[in-house]
Amino acid sequence: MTIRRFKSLLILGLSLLLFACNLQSTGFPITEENSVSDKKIPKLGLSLVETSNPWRTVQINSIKEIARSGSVELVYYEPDEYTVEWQVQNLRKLIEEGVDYLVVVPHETAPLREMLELAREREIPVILIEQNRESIPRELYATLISTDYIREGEICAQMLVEKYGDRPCNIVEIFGTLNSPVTKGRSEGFHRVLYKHPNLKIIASEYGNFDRVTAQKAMEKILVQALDQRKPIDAVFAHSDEDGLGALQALKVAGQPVGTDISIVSINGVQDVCKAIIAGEYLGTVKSNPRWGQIILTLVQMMERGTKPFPMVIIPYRIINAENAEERFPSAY
Amino acid sequence: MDEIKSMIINDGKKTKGDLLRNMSLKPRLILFFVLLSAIPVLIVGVVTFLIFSNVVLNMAEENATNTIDLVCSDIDLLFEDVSSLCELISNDLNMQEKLRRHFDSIQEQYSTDLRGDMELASISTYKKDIFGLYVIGENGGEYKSNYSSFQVEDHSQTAWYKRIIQSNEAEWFTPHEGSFVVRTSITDRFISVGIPFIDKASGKKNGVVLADIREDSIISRIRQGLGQKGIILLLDENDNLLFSVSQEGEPRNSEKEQLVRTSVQKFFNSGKVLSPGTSTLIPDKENLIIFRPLGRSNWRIAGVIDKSVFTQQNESITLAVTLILTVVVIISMLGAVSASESISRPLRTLSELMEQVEDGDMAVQMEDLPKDEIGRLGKSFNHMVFRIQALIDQIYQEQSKLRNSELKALQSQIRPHFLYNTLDSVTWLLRLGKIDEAINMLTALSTLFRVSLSKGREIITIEEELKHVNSYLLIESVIYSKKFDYSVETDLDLGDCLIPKLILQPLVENAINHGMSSKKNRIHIHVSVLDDKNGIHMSVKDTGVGIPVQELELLRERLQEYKSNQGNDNGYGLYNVAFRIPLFFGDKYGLEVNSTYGEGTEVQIFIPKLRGEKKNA
Repeated sequence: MTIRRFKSLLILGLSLLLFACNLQSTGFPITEENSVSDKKIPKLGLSLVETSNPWRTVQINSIKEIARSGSVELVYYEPDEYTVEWQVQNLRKLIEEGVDYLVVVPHETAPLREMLELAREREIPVILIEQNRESIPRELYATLISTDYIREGEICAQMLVEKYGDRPCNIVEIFGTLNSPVTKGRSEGFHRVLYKHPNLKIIASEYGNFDRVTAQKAMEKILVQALDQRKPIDAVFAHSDEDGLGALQALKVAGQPVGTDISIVSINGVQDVCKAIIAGEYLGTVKSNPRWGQIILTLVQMMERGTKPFPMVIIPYRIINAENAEERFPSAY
Repeated sequence: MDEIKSMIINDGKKTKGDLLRNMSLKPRLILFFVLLSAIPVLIVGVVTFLIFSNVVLNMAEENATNTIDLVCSDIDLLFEDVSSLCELISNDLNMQEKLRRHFDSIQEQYSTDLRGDMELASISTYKKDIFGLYVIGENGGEYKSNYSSFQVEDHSQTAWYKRIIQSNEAEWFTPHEGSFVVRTSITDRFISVGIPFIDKASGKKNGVVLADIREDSIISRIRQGLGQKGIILLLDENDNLLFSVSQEGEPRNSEKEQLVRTSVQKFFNSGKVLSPGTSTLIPDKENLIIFRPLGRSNWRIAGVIDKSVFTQQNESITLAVTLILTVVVIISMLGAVSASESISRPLRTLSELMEQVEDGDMAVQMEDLPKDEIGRLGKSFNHMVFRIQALIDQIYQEQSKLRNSELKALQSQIRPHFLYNTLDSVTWLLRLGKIDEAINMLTALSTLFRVSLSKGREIITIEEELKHVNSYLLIESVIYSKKFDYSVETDLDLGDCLIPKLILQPLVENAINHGMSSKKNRIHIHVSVLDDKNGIHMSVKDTGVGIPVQELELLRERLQEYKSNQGNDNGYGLYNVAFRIPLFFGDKYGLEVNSTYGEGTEVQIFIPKLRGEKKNA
C-alpha cells in the first residue's frame, strides 16, 4: 500500500518538474505580471548545515539561482559549525528576521521541533527538504521535497544482489549522519532487500557523516577489524557518494584491490563516482537531481497565490552503473 | 603732543594701580589666590594634555601603520605561499609522470585522475586559505585538491588556460565569481593564480597548475588583522580596484576609495618607485595611507585609516581633561573665596565697629576674637575703646567740677557783704563831697564786674586779670580806709598772655582778710606777674601777720588734699585757685604758700605761657 502511495506521489513530483521546466522555458507571463504588480518579493530563509559536497553545492546553487532571477529574496547564512545546535540558532535568527518562507534541511529532526513550532506560531510556512515523512508531525510543515530514501536503499541492495546472486557477500555499511532521516530511510530500504537474500550480510558499519575524510577514516578502521577477524570484505554500501569515495580511498591506501574484488554502491551521482565507475573501481550509484530551486519556487508561488501547495514532492532517480556511466558522465553533479 | 601722550600713559598707570588699591580686601585676596592657584593648574594641565595627546596621536598612528603593514605583509605572504605551492606541485615527481604519460583508455585516465586527487587532497588540509589547487594536463588528465566536481568542458579552449599557457611566469586572475576549474557555489568569489606546467623531460609546456583563493578568506584575514576602522584596497597593476575591505558593518565608501586612488596615482606620477615587499607611507592630509606592492603579483595593496579616528579618540581625552581642569579651577576658586573670606571677615567686622565708634557709639566691643594677629588687633581695639570711654567720663566729671568751682569764684564776687561795704563807702564819700573818689570807686566796681563776667569766657588775658585785681584793690583800700597799701608789678609784654580768670583776686582777698590785724597798723600787699624762663610767675605777697608754722603745714596739707580729691565744697579763695590751676594746666602746675609768722605771707602761682586767640577751652 505504501509503495502504491509512493508511486502516485512520484507521478505528482514528475508532473511538477515538467511544470517547473515549462515555467522556466516559457516564462509564464501571468506569473511575472503578478510578481510585478504585487511588488513584494517573498523572503525565503534557507537553513542547512552540510554544504561541502558537490551534490549539495548544486542544490544550493539552484536555490541561489531562483533568488538571482528576482523571484524571491534569499536569506542564507553559511554554517560556522556542522552541528544541529548551530542549525537551531540559525533557524531562530531567520525567524526573528521575519522571513516569509523557511526552507529547512534538517540535520537532525528532534532538536528542531521547537523551532518548527515557533515558525508555525509566526505563520511562516516551512518547506522541508529531504525529510522522512514520518519523523515530523504533518502540521509543522507546509510541504515536503524529498527523494525516496527507502527506494534508494532498496536499489543499492538490488545492485549487489544482481552482482553476487546466490554467492555469499560480506557487506560494510557506511552510514551518513547519526539520527538523520536520510540515513534511516536508506538503511531501512537496504535492509528490506537484504532480508530476502540471506547470502548478503552486513559485517560492519560505521558513520561517515556524508564526508569523504570521515568516511575514509571509518573504512580504514573497519579494514583493520576485518583483517583481525579474518572476514573478507566483498562490498561496501555507502549512504552517499562522499561516503563511498571515502571508502574507496581507504581501500586504495590499504592496497586492497578495488572494483573487481570489492564492489561499492552508494547514492547521489557525483562526478567523481562517475569517474570511478568508468574506471571500474565502483559498482554503481543512485542518481537524483539536486536542482530543487525551481520546485521550491513553484511551491512558494502556489502559496503566494493562496492555493494549497502539493503536500509532498518526490524527486525521481536514475541508476548509474558501468553500462551507462560514460554516457551520463556530463550530467553527473 | 608728547606731553599729553605721556600724561595719558601716566594716567593709565595710575588708574591701574589705583584700581588694585581701590579694590576692597576680599576681591583682591580672591584675585591673588586665583592667580596663584588656578592659573598654574591650568597651565600645567593644558601643557601636559598637549604633550600627552601628541604622544597618543603618534602612538595611534604608529600602531595603525604597523597594523596595516602587518595585514599587507600577511596578504603578501599568502599570495607568495600559494604561488610557490603551485611551483612545488609543477616540480612534483608524481605529477610530472602523470602529465607525461599517454592514456590508452578513459578508464586508465579516470583512475589516474582519482589517484592524483588523493595526492593533492592533503594540500587543503594544511593550507586552509587555498580553496583548491588544480593540475590540468594536455593529455586530458585533471587533478584537484578539493572534492568539488570539475567543470565539464575542454579546459584547453578557455581564456584562462590560454593566458597561463602563453605566459612564462605566474598569472594572477582578479576576483571572479565561481572557480574556473570546478563547480562552486555561484556566489563565491575567487582570486586565482596559475603557472604553466613544464615537462622536465622535454622542457615543453604540457599543462597548467592553478590555485583558487577564496576572496572571503582574504577578507576575513584582513578583518582579523585590521581590528580597528580602516579600509584595505587591493589594486591591480593599473591601479584598478580589485576589492576593498572595510570593517564589518561599515558601509563601503567608494568616494574615499577614489580619493585614495588619486592620492596613490599622484604619488607615482611624482616619479617615486617602490620596491616590492616593503611598505611606504604616502603623504595625505586626511588619511593614513600605507602602500605596498605585492612580492609575487604585480598588484598593490593599500591600507587606509581615516585620521579622524585618532582625533576622535583624542576628543574623549580632551573632554575628560577639560572636565577635570574645570573642577580643579572651581575648587581652587571656592578655596580662594573661603580663604579670603576668613581673612577679610574679622577685618570687616573691625572696620564696621570703628565706624560705629566714629559715630560716637563707644559701647561697642569686638567679640569672637580669633587667635591671630587680627585677634590681637581686635583686643587692642577693644582696650582702646574702653580707654577712650573712661577718659571721656573723666573729662566730663572734671568739666562739671570746673564749672562748679568757677561758679563759686563768681559767687564770691557778688557777695552781699562786699557789695554792701562798697556801696556804703560810696555813700560816705558822696556825703563827704568826695565826688571824684566816689566816681573812681563806682568805675572800679563796674570794671570788676565786667571782667568777672567776661562774656562767660573762662580764659582771659593777663591784662584784663590785672585790671580786675587793680579794681578790687582800689575798692578794698577805700573800704578798709587805707589800712593797707599795695603795689602791682608786671612785665608789659605779658599783657596778652592767657590765664584762667579770677586767679589773682582770691589771693589778694585772702591776703587782706588774713594779713591784716589790729596790732599792726598798716600792711603792704605786693602783686607781681613776671616772665619766668619756662612760664609766668605770679605772686601775691603781704606784710601781714603771717601764718604760724603748724597752721601753714595744715594749710599745705589741705591744699594738697583738695587738689587730689578735687573737691569738697568748703574751699573758696585759695582752695578754689589751687583746684583750678592743675585742672587747666595739668598737675605740674599749682599754687605754693610760703609764710613766716609775724612777717608776712607769699602765695605763688606758676603757669605756662599761653598766647593767642584761644578764647574758650
